[in-house]
Amino acid sequence: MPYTAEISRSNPTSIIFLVDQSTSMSDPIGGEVPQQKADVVADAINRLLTELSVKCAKEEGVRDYFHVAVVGYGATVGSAFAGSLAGRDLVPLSEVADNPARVDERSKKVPDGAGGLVETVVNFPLWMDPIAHGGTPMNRALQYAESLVAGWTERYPAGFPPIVINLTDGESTDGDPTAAAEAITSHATADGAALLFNLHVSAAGGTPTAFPDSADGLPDSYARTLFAMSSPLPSHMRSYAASQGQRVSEATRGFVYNADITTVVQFLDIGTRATELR
Amino acid sequence: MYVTHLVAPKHGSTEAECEDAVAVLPGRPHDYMLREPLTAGVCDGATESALAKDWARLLSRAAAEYAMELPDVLAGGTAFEEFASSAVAQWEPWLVQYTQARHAEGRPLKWYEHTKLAEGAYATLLTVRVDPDSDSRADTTEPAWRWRAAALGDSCLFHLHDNRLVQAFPVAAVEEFGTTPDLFGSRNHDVALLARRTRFTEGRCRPGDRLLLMTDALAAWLLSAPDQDDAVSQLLEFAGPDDLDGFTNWLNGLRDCRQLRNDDVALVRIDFEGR
Repeated sequence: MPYTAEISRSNPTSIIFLVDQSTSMSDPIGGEVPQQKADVVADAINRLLTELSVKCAKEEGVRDYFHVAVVGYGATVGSAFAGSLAGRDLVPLSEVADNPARVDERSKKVPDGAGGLVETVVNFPLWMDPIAHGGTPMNRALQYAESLVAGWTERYPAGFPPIVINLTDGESTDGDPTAAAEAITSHATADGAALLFNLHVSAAGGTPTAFPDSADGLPDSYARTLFAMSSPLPSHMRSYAASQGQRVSEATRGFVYNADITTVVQFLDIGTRATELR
Repeated sequence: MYVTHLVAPKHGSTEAECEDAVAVLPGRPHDYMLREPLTAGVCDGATESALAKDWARLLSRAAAEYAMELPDVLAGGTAFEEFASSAVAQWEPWLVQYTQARHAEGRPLKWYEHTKLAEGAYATLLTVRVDPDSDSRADTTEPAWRWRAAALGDSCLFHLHDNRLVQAFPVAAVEEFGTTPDLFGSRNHDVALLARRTRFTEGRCRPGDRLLLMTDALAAWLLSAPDQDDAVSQLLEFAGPDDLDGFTNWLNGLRDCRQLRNDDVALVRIDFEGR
């Protein structure tokens, strides 16, 4: 059965984030609280890396179940890590966790144990800052990811295949990205084809959507193109999404429109989940 | 009654990283014939939580000790809730000590550990108590034992008679295993919920019977074995702590041919003799 390979330190997998940093990302996203698309995407990356680090954290440090790249595309295409990881591609997760560019403190409301909420200060590590400059060379970015995927599948031919997560407003300026997306998912390990998921941040409005099984109701051609490029969710990810109350079918794809994509981290199986009784 | 236990880490992990834990009381060698009550706690720490191995060790020991002192814990209800409270109460002081020790070693907790430890540590818990049966009929000379068990999550008890499986608890079929078993959280103060989700059962053993307690990967292998009699006989090859290397090699063989999921393994074997 595909997508059942163990993800472990001896059989790690890779996650390649592609981050749209084009000028159009300075536009506001639709919704009640207007936010720049670039802020939404940088925030999503920082929270994804935080969740991934915490998920793999053990008392001796963060375990290298994953190697992570953050690739920006705008005026240039290349590593979007800030701080000491600047310029690097695939980095073992332990190094990512130990080297955020900075750690901010943010206030957060948490349950007080008596039915109310209390404000507390939490650490908020940051690996990249919002950037909005240049065109949207999505084809070049996907080709960059493809070269990383190709290298990884050669190195770990039996492992869980690489996952590419593209965060964008979809407005590619170097042509239709469909073929470059297919080139990524044409690489495979013995466990299955590489996965490509997309987060579409858009000013077009419409209903925020996470992991839909059809393009019906998506507001524009950019969203429909990104939906079509996205891989169907493997069976265990669908099961997890369903257990969290999402409506899923065999056609459910790794596509999110103007909604939270950080839940995707929870789709990754590294062993027994740590969940409170309900 | 004889008891022995074996604990082996998953392939690729060190012994110190093993998150399955076993506590058996009284602490006697495997070749010592027990005539008194026996208790055991088996825990499988959740991979995704930090300090899961420490919580598994603390919780399995707390369960074995509590069941030895207060057998009614295995009847559920208030007694189990009181045990759950006492176990959870041991976690924070342990964590304070751990945090101080890390600081003293010059390795203070990192940002991700603060976040992770706020979530607590998680483990399954199987608690078992076996008593020489005082209810056995006076007209029989055959000894008997009464066993009681409490299970939260998917660590399993198997009752064998003449080396054939007569009862599996709390999981009866391999399809019931998953990656989201019920877990005992080190910060879960909702003890009524912990008691409600824990399943309780009991049975009787006669000479020639055995109880096998084990964590999920090995239990899933046993339940899915095409020839269960053969699986049981393979398992019974390992009868004492000196067999740990052989046990580990055997587990690795099963992992290599994908019959056994690569996970930590804990096994407690209780043999009833007297015939």
